[in-house]
Amino acid sequence: MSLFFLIAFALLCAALYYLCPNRFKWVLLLLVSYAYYAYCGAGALPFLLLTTLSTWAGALCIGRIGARGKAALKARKAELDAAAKKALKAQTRRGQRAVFFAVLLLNFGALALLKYASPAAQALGLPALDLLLPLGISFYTFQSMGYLIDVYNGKTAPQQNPAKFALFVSFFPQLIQGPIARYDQLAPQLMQPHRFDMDNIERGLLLMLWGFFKKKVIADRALPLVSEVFAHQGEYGGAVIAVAVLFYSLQQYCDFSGGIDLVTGIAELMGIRLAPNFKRPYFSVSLGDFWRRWHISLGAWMRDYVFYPFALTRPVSRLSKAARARLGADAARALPAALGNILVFLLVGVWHGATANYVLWGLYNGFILAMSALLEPAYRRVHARLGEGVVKSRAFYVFRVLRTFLIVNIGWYFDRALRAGDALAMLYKTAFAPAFAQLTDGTLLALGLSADDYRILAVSTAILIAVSVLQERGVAVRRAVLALPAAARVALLYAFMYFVAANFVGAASGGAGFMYAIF
Amino acid sequence: MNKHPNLRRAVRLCIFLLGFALLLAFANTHLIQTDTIARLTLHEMQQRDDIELAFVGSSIVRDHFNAPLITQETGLNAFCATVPTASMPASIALTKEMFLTNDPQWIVLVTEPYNFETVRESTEAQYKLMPFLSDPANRLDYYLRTTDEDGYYLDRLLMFRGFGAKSISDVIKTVGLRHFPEKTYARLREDMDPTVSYQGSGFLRHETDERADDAIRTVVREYTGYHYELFDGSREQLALYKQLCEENGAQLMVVIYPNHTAHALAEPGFLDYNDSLMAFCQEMGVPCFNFSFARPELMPRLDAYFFDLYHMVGEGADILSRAFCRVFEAYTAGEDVSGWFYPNRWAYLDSIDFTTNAWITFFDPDAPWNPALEQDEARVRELARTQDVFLADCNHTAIYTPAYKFVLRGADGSETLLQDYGVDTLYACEPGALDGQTLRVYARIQGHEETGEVWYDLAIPAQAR
Repeated sequence: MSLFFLIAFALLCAALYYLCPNRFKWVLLLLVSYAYYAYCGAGALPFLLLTTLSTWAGALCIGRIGARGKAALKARKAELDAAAKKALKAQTRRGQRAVFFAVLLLNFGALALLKYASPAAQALGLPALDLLLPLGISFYTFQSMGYLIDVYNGKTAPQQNPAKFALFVSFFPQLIQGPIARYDQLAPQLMQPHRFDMDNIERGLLLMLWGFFKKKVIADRALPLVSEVFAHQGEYGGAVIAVAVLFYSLQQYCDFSGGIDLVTGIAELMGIRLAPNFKRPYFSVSLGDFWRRWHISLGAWMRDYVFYPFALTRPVSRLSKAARARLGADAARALPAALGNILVFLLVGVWHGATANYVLWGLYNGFILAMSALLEPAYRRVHARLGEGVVKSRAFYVFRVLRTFLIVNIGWYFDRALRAGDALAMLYKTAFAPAFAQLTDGTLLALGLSADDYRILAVSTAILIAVSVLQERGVAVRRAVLALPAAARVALLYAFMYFVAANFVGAASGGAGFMYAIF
Repeated sequence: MNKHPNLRRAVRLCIFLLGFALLLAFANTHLIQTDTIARLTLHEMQQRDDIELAFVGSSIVRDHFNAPLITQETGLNAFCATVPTASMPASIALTKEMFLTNDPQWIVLVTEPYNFETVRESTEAQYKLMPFLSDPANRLDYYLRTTDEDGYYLDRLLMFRGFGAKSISDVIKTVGLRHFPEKTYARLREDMDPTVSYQGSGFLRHETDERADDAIRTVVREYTGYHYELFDGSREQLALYKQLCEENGAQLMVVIYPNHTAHALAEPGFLDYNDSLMAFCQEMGVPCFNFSFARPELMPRLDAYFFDLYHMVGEGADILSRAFCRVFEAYTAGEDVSGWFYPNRWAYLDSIDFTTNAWITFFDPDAPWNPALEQDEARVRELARTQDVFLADCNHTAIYTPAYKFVLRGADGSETLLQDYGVDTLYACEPGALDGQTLRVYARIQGHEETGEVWYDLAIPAQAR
């Protein structure tokens, strides 16, 4: 599916949206969302329908069992003693739980089957299974299951109308690669008709332009170098590998966040605000901070639906109590968080792929976060010894940002390498066999990028960093641009748009699709 | 409008976007590179209204159909409407452009497998042609035709990206050629390659002593397996082209360009393609002449005039142009011209009693493919156990047997005979005996020694094994 098709389709949809009578606006969105998904691959539609219908029916069932239980309790309130009331509540909960787990199992089972059956078969030496992996299946499965959990926990009332629920699952801008939306945040916006407002149009177009810039000018231009070095890591020394990892940092961020900016901008054209998914992650001061700024919607999903439920389980509570007795209050407080982080990142790693490198990547992040949680008291003591002047200084801030950047980049070795062994070999070479001569002997010009490509990437990255710094300092860049005097605004936008038009990687040069769409 | 701020801002946005579109249009026409000869050709064609015999195609037309000479010989005003690397979409666009001011009696579409085996237009041809098409409808049609094939909508629309000016002098040249083509050419001429000159009527003459021998020797090998085919898309476009000519009162003739013999020998796909095209033209009722099959009575073999793999110097162009004029005049007079051409590929191949190029390979028993598989493999493998084995080969037709001679070539050009002419394709020696030296093979057709010999050098690195 071409990015240009998405943009053209989105602009057409936005025009139709405002021409459509208010009461049918959500119907239009549903129709165009399904049309878009069918265009991306009609064969994947049954899976989308399966998730939609099973989740809708399951949530409705959970809601009805709950309502029936409440009604029964209310009707027999006077005649039941406390134990009987408790038994009735438990019976209701059991019914809900059965449905809840059935739907959860069905959807995550389907996801696991489609995503992991083929690699598992290959790992066992069996012939590869030719299973279709529907586009965006992880994202709409996570989004739907989030809704189901909210209904099960009584945080959200079940949606009665299957078509309205179908729109929540399939809203086309965020269907392919997120962000993973919460029902209570997105659904009301989708159902509510939005009036034509040039603020939305201008802001949406600007965000789309920015996303396009990140994806097509930076990410796709950096891609050949990353692909070449990671595919043939044996041919390169550690210095070139380090360059490739840095490029991967840039490429991955611009691919994913650029795509998110684009779809967020598309939604804004129609007055719909999607949850932010990135918040300048490379300015993070710790790994925990990084994961609160990177793929925020997945992090929040994992926090709410995995981390907290896990940390509050009885075994973890017992373990925490035991730790309090033997290791003290700090360790007892940190232990559930440490274990939760390891579990969450193990799951995130496996979500990326069922291979050892992803598992190692997940565990690497999980263990660092776990250690951070456990060593928190020690950090506090070190900070106290350094004094507030040092800790709050710019230099210390820069040190922390660079340290986090380094930690994250070590993780990227595992995330991007084709095999765990490759990642370890690349790390070893980076540390002990850099072969610096490859940086100057023309090797860098034989990695799929020309001198022009490097120049364009340098200018583009400088623009990206400048804008990010402004945003980090609290400047609302889009608002600031739109508030400029007309001549300055037009000149700035024309210059930027011309730069983008002249330097985006087009189909003729092998532009790539969104890397997260395959998850 | 003040009561409708949204409407006012929407209008402002539209004006802003329109302004940007104009900026892109300016970049597309002024901030690009320009092919000087293509521009001159287009400009001259747009200025003229007297073209009677038009040749349409790529650089093979521009370089090989001497329009001034053909005008002299036939009495019809000839013109070469060309853009380098043009395929059918460019030919259609060029012809439409010509019909805007001219009513030619004949359109001669000149084809070669490279630019006719697919309807996909190279971006290079598009960038050179599209900015100078005067009719917006033709421009749009051409754009859609090219993008329909490859989906490169934005790459082909934003020409300043792939074909952008690299320097200020590029911009000055483009602006000059766009607005004052003749004056600019006169100025540019001083710095241009002195071996080429634009002769008018779209003909570019090459006068150089360089010849394609080295390129043929080092580039052209035996059949690579690439299959040139007349695809359905090409057939459709050819039929459309015929219709276009008919609608404008012109008769269509197709001419198959005579490639270097080495290509015909090395790539049977060329011959397949030519056969398909001839048959399709016959189906459509379009006269088609394959000048690859020209008998010596019509014109001599042209291999000696190629200065690269595809193009000939002016002398070769003159010979081809005169031969064309003879065929054209005889055909239009209703005469049977079939006698000037070999009737089929077998008769043509039988006429090639020489070899165009030879080569040697060091036999590597572990290579996934090696030439011994097509020779006496068992013998080669046996020999290779104890010796270094070199295998010679050459391009030749099946009915003739080549003979090879192996010599050791010194740095000063001296030669030491290792193995005299014979049909054996192998030369074997003690392991390492030739390391660091140059082995030369000579090849010729046995029994046709008078047709000459060709050679190839293999520089054997030290410790070749």
